[in-house]
Order: sequence, then structure tokens, then C-alpha cells
Amino acid sequence: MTEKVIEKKLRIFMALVTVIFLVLISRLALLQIVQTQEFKTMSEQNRIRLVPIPAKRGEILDRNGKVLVQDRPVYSVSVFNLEMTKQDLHKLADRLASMLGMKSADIIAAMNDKLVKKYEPIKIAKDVPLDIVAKIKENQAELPGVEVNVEPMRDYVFKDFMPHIFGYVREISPAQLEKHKDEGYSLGDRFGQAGLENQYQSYLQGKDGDSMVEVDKSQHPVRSPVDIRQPIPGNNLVLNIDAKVQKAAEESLDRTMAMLQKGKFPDAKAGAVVMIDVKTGKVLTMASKPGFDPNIFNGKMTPAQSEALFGSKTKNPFPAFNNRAMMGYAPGSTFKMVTATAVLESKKATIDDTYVDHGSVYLYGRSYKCWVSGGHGTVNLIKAIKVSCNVYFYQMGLRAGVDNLVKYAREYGLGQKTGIDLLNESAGRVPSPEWKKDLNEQALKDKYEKIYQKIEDKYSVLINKAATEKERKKLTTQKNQELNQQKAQYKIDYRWQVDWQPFETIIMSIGQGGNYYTPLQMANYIATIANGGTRYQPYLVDRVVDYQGKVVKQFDKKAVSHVTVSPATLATVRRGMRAVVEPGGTAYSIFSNFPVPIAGKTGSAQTGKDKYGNDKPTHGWFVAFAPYDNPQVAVASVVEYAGHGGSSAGLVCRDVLAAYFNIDKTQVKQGGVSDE
Amino acid sequence: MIERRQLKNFDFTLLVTTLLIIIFGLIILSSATHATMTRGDDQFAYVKKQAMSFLLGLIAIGVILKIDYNAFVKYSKFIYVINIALLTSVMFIGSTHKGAQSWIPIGTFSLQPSEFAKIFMVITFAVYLANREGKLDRFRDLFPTFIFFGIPMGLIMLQPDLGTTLVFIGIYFGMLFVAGARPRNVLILILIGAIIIGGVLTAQISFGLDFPLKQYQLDRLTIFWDPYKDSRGTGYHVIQSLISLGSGGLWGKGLYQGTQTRLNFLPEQKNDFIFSVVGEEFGFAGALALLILFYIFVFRGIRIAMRSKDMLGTLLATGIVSMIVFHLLVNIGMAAGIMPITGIPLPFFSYGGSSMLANLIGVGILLNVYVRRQVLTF
Repeated sequence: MTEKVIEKKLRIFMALVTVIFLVLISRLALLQIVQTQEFKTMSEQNRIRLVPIPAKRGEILDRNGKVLVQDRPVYSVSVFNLEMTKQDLHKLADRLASMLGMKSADIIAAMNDKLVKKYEPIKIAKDVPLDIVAKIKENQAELPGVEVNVEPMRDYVFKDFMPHIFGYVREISPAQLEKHKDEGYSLGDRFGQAGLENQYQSYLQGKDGDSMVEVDKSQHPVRSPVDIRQPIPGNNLVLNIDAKVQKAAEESLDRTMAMLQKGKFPDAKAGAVVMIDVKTGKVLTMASKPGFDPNIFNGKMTPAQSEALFGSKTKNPFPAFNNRAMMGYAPGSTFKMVTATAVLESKKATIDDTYVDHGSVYLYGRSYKCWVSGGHGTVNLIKAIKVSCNVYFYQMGLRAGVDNLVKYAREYGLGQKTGIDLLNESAGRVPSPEWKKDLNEQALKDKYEKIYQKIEDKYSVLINKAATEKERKKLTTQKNQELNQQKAQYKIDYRWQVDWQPFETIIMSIGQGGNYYTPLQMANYIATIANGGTRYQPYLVDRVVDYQGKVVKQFDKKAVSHVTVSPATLATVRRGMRAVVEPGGTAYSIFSNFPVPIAGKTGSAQTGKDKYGNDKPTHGWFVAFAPYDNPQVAVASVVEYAGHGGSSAGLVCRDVLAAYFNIDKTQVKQGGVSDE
Repeated sequence: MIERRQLKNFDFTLLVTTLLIIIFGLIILSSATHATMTRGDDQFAYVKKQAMSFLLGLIAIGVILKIDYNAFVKYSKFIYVINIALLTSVMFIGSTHKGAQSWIPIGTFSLQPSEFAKIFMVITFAVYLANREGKLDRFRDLFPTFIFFGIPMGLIMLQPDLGTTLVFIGIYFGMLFVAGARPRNVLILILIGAIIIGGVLTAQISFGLDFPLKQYQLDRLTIFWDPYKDSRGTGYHVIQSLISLGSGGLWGKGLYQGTQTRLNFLPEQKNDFIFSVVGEEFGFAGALALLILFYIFVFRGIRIAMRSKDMLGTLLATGIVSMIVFHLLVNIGMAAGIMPITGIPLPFFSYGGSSMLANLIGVGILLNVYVRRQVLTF
């Protein structure tokens, strides 16, 4: 081979090399000059993680600025769902489980949650104690992807104090997320699930911030944040509730129920009390028992806790989650002020009209008893309220008529939602002819349609089978007879089941029958009587204040309506209520040495029969307002299966009023038994 | 022995270019190893080790310069046997790393025979071809070369080290072409090879076999076409490398400032993907500068092949240049997403003593050929 050939070949070789270099250079130019923007974005996406900084949720304070609910910083442990092998994942889960005292399977389940996006931290444990946090940080090297964060947790400072009002907070549910998707919520955000936490969610939530953090391949932050957007704390709620009075209310309910349980009323396990400012509708106290500690919603609830709260499995008759202040009960004799109003306003009686009560009265072919076997003797309206005379009110109810009872019950706000700023308020029910008809007519008709059809069916088969015309005729006659029989029975049933009956007016007028009202409605009804007839909308939150103390929203009293009842009638009713605590009144012994003049009414509502056919203990009611001459507050309380109202709910009302008026305990008579 | 007069024939350009590439490489290596260091570590441990290999390589150049390359003829058979022995022994005493059994541990170091095998192959094949100068015209003359080349190449394939195998093929064709085989025959050979490889791979893919390549090897070979097909698995390396290069832009993010490198998103950054570090931190400008340095190196190498006094020298230079060019093509092509992931080092850059030493021996041979280009007359 000549030198020239070699040289030529080497030149070809060099040309090939040049081509290779040009290919590489063009490729690099494409990546680094033409497409660089695209790759720069990808590189930023690689290294920057937006870590949300949850906003501090607003606090809830009582009217005196006492913090009742707040956010507390706690440590949480999260894991990044890195590209881990199954083996590594299990190893990590085991290690974490032993440190946190959890089950390894729970950790794995959380990490495999399909809802969680990749490269988003998955929360494994909340409220982790400091010593465990220290241990995790020491062993960080063996815990890849594990991160400890500080996050706020809801703290109900006084544990089981007024939980029904606060409600609770949990991570937003998918349904809520869907409903509020335009408000900027995202998965994992905290959302008020009940009570004020839910009602005022938009005020309380605040605005989350975030920090841009540079992370390495394992998603571990490597530097101090690149950029921080500070969160804006949520607004605080200032309540109308006075924590001191509320505390007295809850303690009194507990104490009274314990006392009753020790005595003759083992089922006196639930009750409620509400106090309202009569001039504004501000709710000063709203307590319901049994209570619960809303802090348990921060973690995983045990089945026993869930059962105590909701009672769904064992049919626990006293589920703690229910706010009994907003649940309906038969009002018993506390309804009698409605009957009194109705009869006076319809001018069917004056306050001087009297009846003689012999212990019972015979009306519409039936005897109706008073609660005192010997009767109350000669009774006028004031005395009738004072001694709670049934015989008097049976007849006054009949005089006024059901329509007037219904009219004034509704004017006082009974049987309808008060409009308080809490969800799940029961409307209760004023019984009325229309209500009864609506309730039963269709069902009765349906029932008889079926019966008629059955008869028709039966005879059409028989008639078809019949051999002779004569036999056929006989069957037709038989059929018509049977149908007519049933039609007659329908009429009878219709009268009793659909048409309003006088006996219903009679029992309605003493607060039994279909009457069904919440303690909140009852308190508002008394407030309306006390303030001269203005019905206010009760409200819990006085104002919303931002974290710097600026008032964001001030709530004012709101008059819903004014009753048509004359001032004279209202004064008469108030006078009757005052007599209740005077000597001879049903609650005299309980309030005999109470330093503030009060006016009240006892009630004992029948609760039906137990499985042995015996009467169950009545629900004890007490309603009151005070001071009598210049009313400030109205209060209503019910204690379930507690017997007489005065000696159960009456004691609760007395304690609440004492707390409100700052009356020393020694000034108040302890215990006490009422007559009704 | 080198004589004073020979110094005049010394290719300083090649040496200086090599030194510049190595210094550039050490700087980049310091950035690439920065990320994985923890606080207690010596930040420059890898750089120091690499520099030691470099110094060792300089000594090797000195030693090689003292021997006339024609002495290789005498030792050729011996070198061939040593090469086979080393490659065989690695199968028995070699340690496995990243799926390939390619390392022989010696004390605290480990030797990678396949790196030296390339140099040994260049030397022995050059001697072999020089002896058959002018006897390679016919196609069947090429058959013995298959066996001569096939044995060491087969051993490397068994490790398995696909990248080195590719470089072997590059060396083979480069040297065969220059040695006098007809271009037509070389082309036919390339064609047949391509058909066989293509056929085998097609068969494997269409029948879903796990042979002759293991599934992961096959995935690595094919993923570069569409790395997003498996962006968290096999494609991850390619994608991160492309992001590193692309995000570097024209001027780069600056030394130690590459986020892909620093935050460890870029895999294998001190070895196979070190070129992406250059691209990220010094941008297109830096990558181009490095390619220009390599181009000068290759140009000088080919010039040496032209100026050589004999066929042996020409073939030695051709072999070494082929080796370097193929390394560049496969390594940079892989980083830029136009070549399969085969995992071979970037010469003078990737961390590894064996590679550095072998490449510097190559430089020594080039210098040796150049120094002795003139027939000396006294």
C-alpha cells in the first residue's frame, strides 16, 4: 500500500470523525439553545417543591375574651411516597411503627392511598411527642423520606366544655371539597364539620401560605426556603356566651343528674339548658349533656368513643353528640302560658274567671285528672299558673280553641326554627288540625284502598267460579255488605285518626299531645313574654375579629317579629309566672331565698310507657326570666326522665341564674324539692 | 531511548490538549462529586484520587516514550495472552458492580481489565495487521481477524460490558479500514453485522425472549428513542441527563451551581453522565469548548497516523484515535439522548483510575509514534 492510499484513507477517517463531532454539536445546540426553556422549566420543577404553610385557624373566645378554642402547634410525621421497593417500604414502615407506637400495616396503607399525589408528603402521625421527634431526627439517615413538620392542631382548651357549640374540625371530605371547590380548598385542608366550626368556617379558616423549598432527588429540603408566602391567620369569633355562666350550667346539669340518678331517677342521664338575653337574643349559655371532648376528633376515634358519641350500634339512648338544647321535647306545663295567652287574647275568659278544681273534670265523655288528687279548689288564671292547675287549663284550652292555641304558640316562636347560628336546629312542632290531617289522611286512605281491593279480588274469583246466576247474585250482595262494613269502619277511623278531636285540644293545652319544642325555643318564648313581646333571633357569635384585633363583622340583635298579644295579657302571664316562686307556688321551695326576684314555670312532660306498661318518669322542665320587674335574661332547661321539673331543671336554672347574677352559692338554698 | 533531537519531534499540542482536557475534567469531577459528599467527607477525595491516576499516567507516558513502539512486535503475542488471561480471570475473581463483573480488586484499588483490554487490543491488532500488510484484499482474508478480535470481545460481552464491546467494534473497523482492507469489504462486513444484530434483537423483542440480552439491557438499549415511555424507570436517567444539558442553556448555571448535579437528580454524574455536568454548569459554550479540545486531540492523532514512519505506527495511532472517538460518540451520544445507554466512560473525565491510566497510555503511544516518525540517519 502506498503512502498516498493510507493518507487518503486517513482523510476519509478524519471526515467521518468530523461528521460525528458535527452530529454531537448539533444535537447539543438543539437541546441547549433551541429547547433550553423547556428544560429549564423541567429543571425548576425538579428542584422546587411548594410546601404549604397552613394558616392558623381563628380562635373562639367567650364574651370576656377568654380563649376557649385555639390552634396549638404540634409535630407531625410525614413520609414521601418515593420510588421505594416494597422491601424498603416495609422496612421503613416497621421502623416508623416501632418509634411511633403504630401498626406497620396502617403506615403502609396510608402510603398506598391512591388519593395522594406522588411527591406529596403523606401524613403518618400527628401530635407526636417531642422525645419521639428527637429520636426520629437522630435516626434520619435510616428513615429516608421521613420528615417532621410543625403544624397547627385544633385545641379545645377546656376539653369537654360546650362541645356542641364548637363542633369539631376534620380534613375536608371529598363531598365538601366538591361543594366548595371554587373557594380554593384542597385535599387535606381542615374544615369545620359541626357547630360554630362549620357555621363560621369561612371566617375561621384563614389563608394558607407556602414556602418554595429546594429539594434534592429524595425530596429532602436542602436549603432555607427560596421564597415564603406567609399565611394569614383566620379570624377569631367572640361569643355572647359567658364562660363562667356556661361552666355553672354544665356543672349544674352534671350535679343535678348525678343527684337524680342516685335517687329515684336512674335514667336522668341527659339534659340541656339555654339562657338568652331577653333584650337582644344573645345566647349567654347553651349547654347539653352528656358532653364530649371534641379533641378526640383530632385523632382516630376508638369504637367505644364513637359509640358514646353517636350510639348507632348499641342504640345508646343518650348519644353525646346530640345538642339537646336544639332537640324537641314535649313541654308539659311550661306550655300553659300559651294557653293563658290564647284564652285571654280570644276574650273567652278574663283573669278573674274561676273554676273549682276537684281533682278531675269530665269532658266529652271522659275524665281528665289534675296532677293533685284532691284538686286545687277555686282557681283563677294567676293561681292556675302558680299551682299549674290542669283542670283549669283543660277548660281554658277548650274555650280558646285549638286555632288560638296554635296561633299564639307560633307567635311565641314555638314549633319553628329560631334561626340561631348553628346547624341542625330542630323545628319542633305545634300540633294542629292541619298537621294531624297531613300526617294521617293519606296513610288511612291507602290502608282502606287496599282493604277494598282485597275484597274485590276475593269476590271476583268466587263470582267467576259460581255455577248459577243465583249464586252469583248472592255473592255480589255479600261483597257489597262486606265493603259497606269496611266503609263504615273507615269513617270511624277517619274521625279519630284524621279529624282533630276535642280531647286533643284538652291535652294540648297542658303541653302534652303533639307539642314538641326545643329548650332553645322555650327560652326564646319566655324571653318574648319577658321583654314585652319582641321575638329576637338568638345568636351565639357577637363579632368576628381578625388576628390583629380589627372587627371584621359585628352581629346585632335581630327582631324576627312582634307578637299581637296585648301588654296587659303579657303582664298577666308574667304575674302568673312570678306567683310560681311565691309561697304556695310549684317552685317556691327552690327559689324561696333567691336574692333576685325571678318568675318561672315548672313542667313535667309525660314520656309514655316502658316495656312493662308502667309510666316512664317525666321529663323535668323549668323556664324562667329574671329579674321579674326588669327582665334581663330568660332561661329554659330540661332534664330527661327526671320527674318533677322544679326539682330537676329548676335546680339547673337556679344555678345558671345565680352564676349570671353573681350570687354567692351560700345565698342560694341547696337542693330543694318542687311540687310539680 | 529518546534523544535530544527527538524532542523536536515531540507533539506538544497533543500533550497540552490532553492536559487541558484533564484539568477541565478534574474541575467538573469536583462538582460532580460534591453532591454526594456529606459534611465529614473530604470534599476533594475523588478529585485527589483521580489526580493520582493522572500522575501515574504521566509516568506511564514517560516509560512508554523510552521504548520504541517497534518493540511491541516482539511482545505482541505475550500481550495478547496477558489480555485474554486478565479478561478470563475477571470472570472468576472479579467483583460485580452495577450488573457487570468487570473489576479485579487489588488492595484498596480495583483494576478494570476491560479498560486496558482496549489498549492491548490496539497494540496486538496493529502488529497483526502490519504483518499482513497488502494481504487483506480478499474478503476471506478477513476471517482470521474475526477470531483474533472475537475472543477478547466475546469475553467482554460475557461480563457483560456492552459499551466496551461497541468500542471494540469501532476500533476493529477503524483499524481494518486503514490497514488496507477494501472499503467495499469493510462496508459489507458492517452491513452483515448490522443485519445479524438487528435480526437477533428483532427476534428477541418479537418473541419476548430473555436472550441473548437480559431484559434490562434491552430496555436500556431501546429507551433512548422514547425515554418518557418509562420516565420513572429506565427512562429516568436519559430524561434527567437531557434536563441537565438543556437547562444549562448557552452559558450554563455556573460551576457548582448546577441544580441537577448538586441536588443529585442527575444519575451517575461522576461516571457515565459526567458530560451532562459540563453541559449544565458551563452550558453549550462549555460543551462546545470540550468538544473542540477533543477534536484537536483526534486531529493530532490522525496527523500522527499520517506522519508515521511505518504501517505499525499508523495502525497504533488509528486504533487509539478510533477508541477515543468511539468513547466520545457513545458517551456523549448517550448523555444527549441519541445513543443507547451502554455505560462507558468519557475519556479523561469520568472517574476511574483504570480508564485514566489506559487513556494516558494511549496518549503515550501516540507521542511515541510521532517522536519516532523520521528514519534517523547518523
